[in-house]
Amino acid sequence: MLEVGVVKAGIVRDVEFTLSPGTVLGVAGKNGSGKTTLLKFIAGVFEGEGQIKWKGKDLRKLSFKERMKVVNAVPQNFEPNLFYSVYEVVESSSPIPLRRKEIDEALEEIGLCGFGRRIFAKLSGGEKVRVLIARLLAINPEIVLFDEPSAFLDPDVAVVVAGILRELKNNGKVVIVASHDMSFLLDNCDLFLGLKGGREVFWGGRGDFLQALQLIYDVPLKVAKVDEEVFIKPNYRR
Amino acid sequence: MRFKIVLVFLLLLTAAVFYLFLCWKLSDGKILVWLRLPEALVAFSFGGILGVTGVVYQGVLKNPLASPYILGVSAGAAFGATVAAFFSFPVVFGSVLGSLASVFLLVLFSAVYRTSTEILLFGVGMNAFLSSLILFLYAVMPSSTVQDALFFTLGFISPQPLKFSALLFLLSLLALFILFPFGKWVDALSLGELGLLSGVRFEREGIILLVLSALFVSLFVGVVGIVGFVGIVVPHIGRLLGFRVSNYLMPVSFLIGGVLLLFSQFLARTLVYPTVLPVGAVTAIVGVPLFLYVLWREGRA
Repeated sequence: MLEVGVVKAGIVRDVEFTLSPGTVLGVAGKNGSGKTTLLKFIAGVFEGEGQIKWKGKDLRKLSFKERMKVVNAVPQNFEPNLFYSVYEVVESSSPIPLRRKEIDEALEEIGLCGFGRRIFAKLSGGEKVRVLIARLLAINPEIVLFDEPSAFLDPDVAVVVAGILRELKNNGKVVIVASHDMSFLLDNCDLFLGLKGGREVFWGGRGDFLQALQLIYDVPLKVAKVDEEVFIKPNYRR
Repeated sequence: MRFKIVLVFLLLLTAAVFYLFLCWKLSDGKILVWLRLPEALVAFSFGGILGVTGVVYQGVLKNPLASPYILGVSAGAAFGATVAAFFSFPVVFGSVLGSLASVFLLVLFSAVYRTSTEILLFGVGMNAFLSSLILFLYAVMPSSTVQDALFFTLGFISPQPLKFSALLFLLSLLALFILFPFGKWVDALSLGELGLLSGVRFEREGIILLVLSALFVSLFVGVVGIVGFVGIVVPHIGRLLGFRVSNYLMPVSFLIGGVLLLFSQFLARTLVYPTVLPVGAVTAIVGVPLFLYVLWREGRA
């Protein structure tokens, strides 16, 4: 069980929830609503008041390095200013020593076979996100945080990422995904947390989430159902 | 494989420059042992230290222009040494205290302003401030001592006893071996937000690295004075040779830095024979074109 209770961390106030292994939580909210801050607080990168327990143990009592072995993340955007190769980026940013073979396997799983020696800074946006996801698969933490995983992805890759989320869920991980992409969240998450101005405005399952969209966003969102598929979009037309 | 080839090549180059330095127009065996060998050892080990600490500073501060010189750590050491000399204290104490004080200010500042660009700019400001303080001291010094002091800011390798220079050489090797295992930290820190997820933080590991490097640099600055540009340029030459990870870059930079300073000292003592120039004046002449070349190349990449 992951028990999160934020009293105060940056903009985020009084957010409390519990997740059991094998759950994917979607965090929705506008820009600046505290999604990233919440993820950073859970990772331990952002200091704040509150508590985080994993299987009854206080994560805050672990050393920073030990904590990173339990909780790790795919950050929102990452641009190195040195020309590291993919291997080097993954090895240097891992809390555990990784063998090249393990990195290769993780890269292969996400469709980047043979990318190990490519220069990370010269990859496309989607490839970078995929490398960061492969890094996470290689580290294999218990709690996995995704910050905007679908932001740079074309539909082909978004499907691969969705598959990875399912696999993590089936392997009993706790997965937390923060995203603007309502449809992506809706299709891939079991539970939903809505944030507005750093406060919890919604908590619930798939059915309720569709009803609660106007609590999270100010503009009306259109929800359409076609062949059991749900589409969510703002009204762009005047 | 490539690493081994480059390492062997650099070792050969080192040996060649050592040989050139020691045996050029040599008339007397005593000069070799008591004058040139100590000088060569001091030049090589200081250059090596500057190369390695350049790698550390560039990694920790995530900036390809960082080095102890740019951040005012060398200037702090030189200021401390000048003050110590002024009050006739041991110079090395002054330089160590001076550089630690400037690193302390840097760390204090970094606790408030966390982006590495701001920390770097603060260091640049501190460098300018300390440099002008040193110039201020020169202005009020008796004119007979100004020449020595001036050579100190320019980095002058004065004749040292053989034992002492051997000690400095061992110290530089020790510094390399102490900093080498922390290469993983340097790499992680250079990755910024992503590196943080490996469990390495600037607030702890980064500061340890900055202080440790400053300590090593200051010991040499206390002996030789300020030598600029080696620390910035050398890691980039290492990177151009294809080494990015600190485990490779540190030993390579140690050798390149050592060779660069040794060659500079060779030029310093032969260019205007028989006058020996301050080595810092020559490293900048060798270093700046290299530096501009690196900038040009990175701009095109």
